[in-house]
Amino acid sequence: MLRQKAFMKKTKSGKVLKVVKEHYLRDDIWCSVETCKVCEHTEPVLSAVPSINKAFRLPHYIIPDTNIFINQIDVMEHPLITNVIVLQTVLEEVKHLSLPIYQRVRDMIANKEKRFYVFSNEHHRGTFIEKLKDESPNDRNDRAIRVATKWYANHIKDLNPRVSVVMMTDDAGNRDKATADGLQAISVKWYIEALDNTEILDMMSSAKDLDDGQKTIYDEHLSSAHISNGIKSGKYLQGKLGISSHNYLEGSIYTKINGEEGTILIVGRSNLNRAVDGDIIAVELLPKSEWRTTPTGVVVDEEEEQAEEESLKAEQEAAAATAAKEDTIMAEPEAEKATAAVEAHKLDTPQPCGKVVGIIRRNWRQYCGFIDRKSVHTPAGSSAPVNVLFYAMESKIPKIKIRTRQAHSLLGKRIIVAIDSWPRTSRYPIGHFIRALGEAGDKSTETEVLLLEHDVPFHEFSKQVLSFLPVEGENWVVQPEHFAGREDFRSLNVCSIDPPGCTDIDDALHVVPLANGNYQVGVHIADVTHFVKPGNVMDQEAASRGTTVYLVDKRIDMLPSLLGTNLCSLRSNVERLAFSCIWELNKDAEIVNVRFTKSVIASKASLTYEEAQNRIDDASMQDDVTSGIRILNMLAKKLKQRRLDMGALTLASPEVRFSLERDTQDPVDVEMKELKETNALVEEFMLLANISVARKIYEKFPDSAMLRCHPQPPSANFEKLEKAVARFGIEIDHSTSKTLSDSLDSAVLPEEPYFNKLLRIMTTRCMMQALYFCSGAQIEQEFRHYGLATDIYTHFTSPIRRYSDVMVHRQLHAAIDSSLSYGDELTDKEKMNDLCGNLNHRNRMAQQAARSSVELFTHLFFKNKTEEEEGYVIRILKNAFIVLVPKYGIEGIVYASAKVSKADSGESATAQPQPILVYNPETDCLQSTETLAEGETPKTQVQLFQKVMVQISIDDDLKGGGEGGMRQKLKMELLKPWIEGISVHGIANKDDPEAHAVTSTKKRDEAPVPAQDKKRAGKRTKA
Amino acid sequence: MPSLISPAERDYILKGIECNIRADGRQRPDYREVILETGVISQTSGSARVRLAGGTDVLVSVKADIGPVLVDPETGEGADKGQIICNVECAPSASQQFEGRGADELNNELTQMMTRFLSHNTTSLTSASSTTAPSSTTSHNSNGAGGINLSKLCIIPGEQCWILYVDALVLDYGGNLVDAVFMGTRAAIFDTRIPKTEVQDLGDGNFDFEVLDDAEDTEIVEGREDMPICVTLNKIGARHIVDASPLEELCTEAKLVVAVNRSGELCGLQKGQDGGIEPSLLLEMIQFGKTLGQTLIKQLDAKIKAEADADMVKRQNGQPVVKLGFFAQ
Repeated sequence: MLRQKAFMKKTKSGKVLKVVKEHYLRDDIWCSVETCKVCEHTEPVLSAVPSINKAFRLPHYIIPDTNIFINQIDVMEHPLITNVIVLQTVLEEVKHLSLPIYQRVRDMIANKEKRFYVFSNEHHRGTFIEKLKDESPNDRNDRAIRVATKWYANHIKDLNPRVSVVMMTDDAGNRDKATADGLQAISVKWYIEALDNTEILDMMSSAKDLDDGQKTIYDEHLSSAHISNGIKSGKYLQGKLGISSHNYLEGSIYTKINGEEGTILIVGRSNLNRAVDGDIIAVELLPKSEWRTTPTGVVVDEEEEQAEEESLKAEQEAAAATAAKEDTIMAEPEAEKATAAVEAHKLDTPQPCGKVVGIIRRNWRQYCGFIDRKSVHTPAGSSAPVNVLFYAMESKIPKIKIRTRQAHSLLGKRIIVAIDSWPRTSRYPIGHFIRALGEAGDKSTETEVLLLEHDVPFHEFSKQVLSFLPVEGENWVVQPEHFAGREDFRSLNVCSIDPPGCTDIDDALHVVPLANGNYQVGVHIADVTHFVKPGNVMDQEAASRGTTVYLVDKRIDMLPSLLGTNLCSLRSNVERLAFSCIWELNKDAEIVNVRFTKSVIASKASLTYEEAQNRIDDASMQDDVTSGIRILNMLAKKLKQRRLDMGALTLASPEVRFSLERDTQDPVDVEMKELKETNALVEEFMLLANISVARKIYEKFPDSAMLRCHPQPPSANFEKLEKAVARFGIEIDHSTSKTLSDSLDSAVLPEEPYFNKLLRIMTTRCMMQALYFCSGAQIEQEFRHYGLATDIYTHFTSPIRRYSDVMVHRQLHAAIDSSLSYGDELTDKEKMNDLCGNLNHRNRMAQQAARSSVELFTHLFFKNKTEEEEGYVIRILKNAFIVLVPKYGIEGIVYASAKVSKADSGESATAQPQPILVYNPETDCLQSTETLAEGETPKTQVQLFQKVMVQISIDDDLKGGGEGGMRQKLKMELLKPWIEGISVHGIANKDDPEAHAVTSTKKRDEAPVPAQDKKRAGKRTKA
Repeated sequence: MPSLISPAERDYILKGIECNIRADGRQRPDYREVILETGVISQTSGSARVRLAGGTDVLVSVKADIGPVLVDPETGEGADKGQIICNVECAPSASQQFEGRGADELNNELTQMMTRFLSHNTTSLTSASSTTAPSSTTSHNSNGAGGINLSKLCIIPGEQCWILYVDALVLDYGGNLVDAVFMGTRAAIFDTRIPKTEVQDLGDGNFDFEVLDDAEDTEIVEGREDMPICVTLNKIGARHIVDASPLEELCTEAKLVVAVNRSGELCGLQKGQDGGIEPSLLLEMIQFGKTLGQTLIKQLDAKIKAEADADMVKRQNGQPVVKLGFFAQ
């Protein structure tokens, strides 16, 4: 039977199309019920005895409508929900409304255990319906669902054992109509409640119930047509919202303002207007008079007042008792946080400020976090549903209001929550519970949290991916046919030098003195691309993972471990495939010539840095490998010197490594990382190889080579640092990397040996992030790598743990072998650009995850410990300062205000904390409040680089006020110098109940960039 | 279609008409049987197929599209009006004479006539058709000669409007093309559904609009009832006939096309062929055309309405609407 379907479409060019599709109806679409004898299906999906729910007499199949999937996808994903008939009508509507949800539905359908069956009702003779005159498409689809349900009900009514179908919809009108037709219909809520399972009850999104809806807090968002028109006309600006990590009420977008790139600040709750970090938003600039000249707390104060006002108002409203409570509680930490976080340095020109007028695309994801203990008001053990507030681990995310029946059992746990909506009437976004991860503070839970939070894919490799591994598995060996197109370097004295415990060895070296007095030096890199062919599932998986992630106690591999730690790893005394870079260097380590080739090597030794160093130092060792290392060492020193002369930077970061207890993997000791000469040896040759390869692939692929650049930092980044060191009579010239390097070298204070290192650490923070890019996307001048002082650079030497290197290997192979055929993945500029974007993102996330992991272990280390340590002030904030403790590589905030305890402040919980030290914008330091005569120095002051003594402990009672539940934080308290009201009396007085709030937050600054290029930073983090 | 006629045949027809008996047995004011169906092409906004029993077969489609408004640079008129763009084409297969460029002149004549009768405006009054010597058009109702309310077709005044492309394709020729084309056009416009639009005010004097994607949620063309049809009167000898067959057309001395709407108002007049018409006969012919046209419209409207009602009933019951289309005999 042939039918027609027609709809109108407006094309991009403004034309209107009437699309008419032929629609054929069939009589061979089966019901897929196991016991059905009428239908001729071969692999029935729906089981003979489906779900049982006490709301219904018979076991039944569920037929949900579209909104059930759209609003309650998390419930549908719950293992309790099985035997569902997904109608084609519903599936198409879901696809039209939300692609991510459609994908999740598809995944469920693919999952055999879920028993989700897609019934093509639109193509079924018995269930297809024509749209009635004056019937809206929605009504038509609802009717189609009812008709299909009816068909099923009739079709299965005589089956044995007896079963039925249940239509699930939250639309009461639809339910009534279904009942009138003699069908069984139920809402999600009733259905779930009848299941008696609190967990799944919590997963139900109940946005409407949670919205108190009493007064409108936020302005309405503009329609998408308004926004796109406004953006076209330049009235609104578009950008991705980045929330400040110090203050979740302050965000910014980076966009073009009147043709110039710049940042627009968005300050305060009402200006942010329900935008969440990462959303693509449309912003309207505020009039110049409202731009911020000094980043003082003016706007924030206003916010505070508002909060206060609201809370007072709410208190008067007896009806909204809980809401009031929430608000009062909220107001206090908010106020504290907001003012504390405002960074205080005087701005000469007013900074553009804006407000959000609309949201172009939401970037909501699932958030890890915990429930605010203070928001739980029911007595322990109660399982009545309560509205509670949820704090995300990421401080940029606002609190989320959720409704839960398991509030008490979830306290102190890490849970995952999704945002459903953020109506204008609700102060906080409304979400629902998804699942609990485990106890807070537990190492494995916290590790999972940090992987989830940094978007690190850490699932096991799928069977499909593993199917692309060599079939021989561990017994794979180099076969004679592998020598085709490869040079045989098995006889060379190749060795590898890596950190102890390293199993994924991706580089090895050799050197041979030549007759003419020069040296042949070879860098051999694991030939990963021999095993990972472009475009297959394993390659796609690796490309999406982007990099191997190194945590303190584990490693998340980019490639299956058979490749990473075995077949590709250049282990000693086995033959391995390699990609070699062979130079002829003269005595001064200058390159005479270079060539690249695929090869077969057999490493003679895999050494640790220490072993290699010992070999160099031990004069009695005279074997070939050792003397090779000595020559390499000599050449490396010359290379390094030349690089430094060119202006390469030596920066530093306070990196530490943990000694872990063997069984529990708990940290027992922390030590600073030590660098040996041999670290530099490997590093120099890797740099040399990377630069040589970069030139080669750029020559072959001028438009699509994968390169890496490091932009010059803008001078604004250095302003504060320059001011601070000027005090010591030191000047920093950052005009080129060479001058910067020289000024760093000369910046030495004899009385403070750590000063130079500290300065290098702080310089590192002024740097830009190094990035992968596609050579066609930038002009040649921008290829420069600032930190390494080279005009071109790429990553070639670690293909086992970085996908960029895999691409570079492929491009290099294509460059040296003209007979090689390759796909457009090497030449397509757009694809390469997208890949670079992903790799940069994954890289950043991997770094942050690694850092969070270190932080986690630092916390574990300090658990039940209190240490007194020396530290340095590295940053001054308006009412706090940040202290770095070199011994542990940790940073913490010390507040310069004494917190007014709640008891004192009585009614107004939002009273301002009493400032003890105030910020002086002229000297960029904090000083005591007494009035000063001209030229007089204040009694006490805190300035950059100042050495202080701090007491470090774990403060697990910060937010939410519960024991052991929340974001555990390092607490840093000032011991020396003694400042009344801020300092504490060491360990003896620790239990003083009046202890002033001196706390610390996570360090969030960027890691040293050039450092991770030069060395193989992540790798060294491994214990 | 024969291009020549023998003197004997001509004499036969002439004498017959004198006696009020035509070659096919009709009387002078008799029309042939008209077969009409609307909605025959699903991709269009509206369509109709008209056949006259002797062979004339015309397919008319209306396509609604969006375009910029056409403003008269002198008078500034038209900023708030939609447009109707007509085109008539005779398929080469319809007649031997239409092969090659044979139909160009006829196409041109019919297209211009339709444009003038449907989207009447001042410019079309002055532009004389190349093939017709004396031409005159008169308009009586407020919506112009075509009857269609062009203002309703405007979406954003001064910017965007609906443009109705009316395309008539002559599939077969069996005489009396003009009447068939206009009957078809009227029925196709009757069948036309224009998607609804929602205009959004973006502020700053900017507007944008969305087209509702539901093919059912549409509007009719306002003023469609007031559209005229044409009655062609052929003067043969001292008499005049309607709905001439090809042979009769060859005998015609003078031709008068009378466009008339349902209230009997004269919407257009066009004289063709070389022969003259005496004033008294001219008035009689116009009067006759008007009366006949009015009856014709009534009958056509009744048929179209009956068809639309039948479709509606089917839709309301959720049954598929099946058209005979080209399977109809």
